[in-house]
Amino acid sequence: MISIKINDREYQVEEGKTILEAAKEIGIEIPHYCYHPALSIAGNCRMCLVEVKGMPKPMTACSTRVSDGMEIYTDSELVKEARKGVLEFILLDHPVDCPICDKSGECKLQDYYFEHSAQKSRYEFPKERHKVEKISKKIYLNPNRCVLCTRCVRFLREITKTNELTTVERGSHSHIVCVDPEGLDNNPFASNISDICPVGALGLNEFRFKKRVWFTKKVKAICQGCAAGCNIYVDVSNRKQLLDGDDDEIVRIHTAENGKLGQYFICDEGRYSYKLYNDKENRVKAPVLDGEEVDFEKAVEVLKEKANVRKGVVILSPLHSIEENYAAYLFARERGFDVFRPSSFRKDLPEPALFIEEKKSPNDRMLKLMKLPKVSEIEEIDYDFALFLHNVGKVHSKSEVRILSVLKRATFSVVFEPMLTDFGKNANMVLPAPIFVEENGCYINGKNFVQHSNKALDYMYGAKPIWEFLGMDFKSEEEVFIQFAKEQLDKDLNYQKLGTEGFEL
Amino acid sequence: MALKKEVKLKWWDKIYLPAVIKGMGITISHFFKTLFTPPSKRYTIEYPDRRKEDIPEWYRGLHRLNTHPDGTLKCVACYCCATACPADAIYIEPEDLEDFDKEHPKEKAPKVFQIDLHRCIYCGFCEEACPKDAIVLTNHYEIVHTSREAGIIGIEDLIKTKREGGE
Repeated sequence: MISIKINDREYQVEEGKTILEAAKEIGIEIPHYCYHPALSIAGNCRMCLVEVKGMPKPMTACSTRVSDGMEIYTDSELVKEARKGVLEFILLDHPVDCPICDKSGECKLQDYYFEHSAQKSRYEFPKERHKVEKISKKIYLNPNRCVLCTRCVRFLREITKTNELTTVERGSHSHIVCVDPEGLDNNPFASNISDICPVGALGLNEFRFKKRVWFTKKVKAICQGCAAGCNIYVDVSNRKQLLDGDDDEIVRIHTAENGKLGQYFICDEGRYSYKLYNDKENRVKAPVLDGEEVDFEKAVEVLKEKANVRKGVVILSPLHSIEENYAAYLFARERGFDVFRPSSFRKDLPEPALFIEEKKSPNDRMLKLMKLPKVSEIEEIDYDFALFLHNVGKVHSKSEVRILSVLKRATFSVVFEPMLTDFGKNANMVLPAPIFVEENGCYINGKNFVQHSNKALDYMYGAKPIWEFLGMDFKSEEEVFIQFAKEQLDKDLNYQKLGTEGFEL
Repeated sequence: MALKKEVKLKWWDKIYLPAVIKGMGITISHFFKTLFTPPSKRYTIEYPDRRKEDIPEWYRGLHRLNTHPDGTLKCVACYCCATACPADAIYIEPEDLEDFDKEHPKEKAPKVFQIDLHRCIYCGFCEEACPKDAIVLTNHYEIVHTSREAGIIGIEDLIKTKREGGE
């Protein structure tokens, strides 16, 4: 630890860090474009200039390492002047088309302009124009808006190692082009460049002109695609207008960084998985009993009556949160029912795989930690009552066959799922389950991280958590989680202790 | 906290007669004043036989979407008006214009632009929020519909709105 002075206040920081990182940790924001925690340092945007005592010129905070006794000023007159100048240069050839631009509202250039510059352009000549291109099926490139921070170039060079984008020409003619004839279509991580682009130069074709950013609410959640448990932001509509109609759906999914997990990007499969959750036609819209829709009270009554047997089975799901699974587990424990876990669906990894995991379920680890027997260990017995939890996604095909036979042979079978699948079609009763954005839930990922996913939408189509259908007395999701942590993990945990970055077991 | 003011009435006030006579006096004086004024100078206009001619420029009436000289819409579907609208009366669906003209860079235009005139409160916030001077409130004040559906007007109607007394 060394001591440095930032704006005449003394702080203790770790040696070897750059000024920008040290200031970020303390809570002082230094504006930047080209710096990204997961990428190499480029130092080409010049936005992070700070004054260091003893240095003849302002220094770039992203590339200068702190040293003992360093005195740094982040808001002196010199720094303010420098920022103003840098912004004027960046905006020289930047079209001021914020009304059209899709990044407007979350654009760093827009924010910094109002914060640090807010001056009229003195440039009188026509700006250089390039054509807007769709460089792949997923991404468009608008070179006019590019500030040449080269975050995208560095991402494709350093993280995916595919080198599709590069800068060409020199000086004011310099711009970004796609040099791969196949575009970015083969890259399973390509859409990340729209997230890391600080301006509106790179964007998703799917989100293009779909919704303005200020009409969406950003909610932090956990990706359900695989056992990696990436942190994501789920954007849902926050202002429902009268003429808009039924608009309760996920607008997009984008990256939320988790430094503790070392995760700064998400894969395209996870990013576009929101379509599965927006599928409203297949949603189970009410409890279904023998092909007929019944109301909630009736469903609870029937369940209570039918579960009053001796030989029952509850099959949990690696696709559901800890809360749903543990409530069902407690229900089984109370009645002495058998509890089993299905194996996760596995999918071959793409090339490069980076952080993607083979197991395609977010909560496989939880069922493993509880040391539950696998579905394949079910002895061929006909149960009187069978309950199976299912969610959007798949379980292993062998487990699927096994579960279907159990459901078919049981006297009364119940499936708790959001979308109607083969399981629901072969069961006596189907209960509408909430999808992951409709409830608070925790997931344990492959690296033994317990992470909390927030509620973004209200329960839709009569979906309710399982403990309400089973007539259990839980007031909130957190109550179930606290009980789980106490009994299974032997830890005193709650949502607040998990925080935004999760808890490592 | 509610303010309560006690008013003590004298017997003179309690019979109410002087107040009634005073009020009737004003009414009758106006009646005769109007009676002997020529119809063109009267305050009340006998609508619809007569119409108000000199509606000021700043009057906030029916909306209009402005167009460029070549006939294309000025609107770029930025949603600023819909964001500013306190009555949620504006509905926009944008469209991606694939052709990118070098002279007039324009990538986006509204495919659907609807204003629900029954919800609109004619506050003029949309006009103020518009960065492209595309939406204006004209001084056209005769806004009548026979059904709720007719009150939701689209682009075709909005570009046709004319100012009262000329273009």
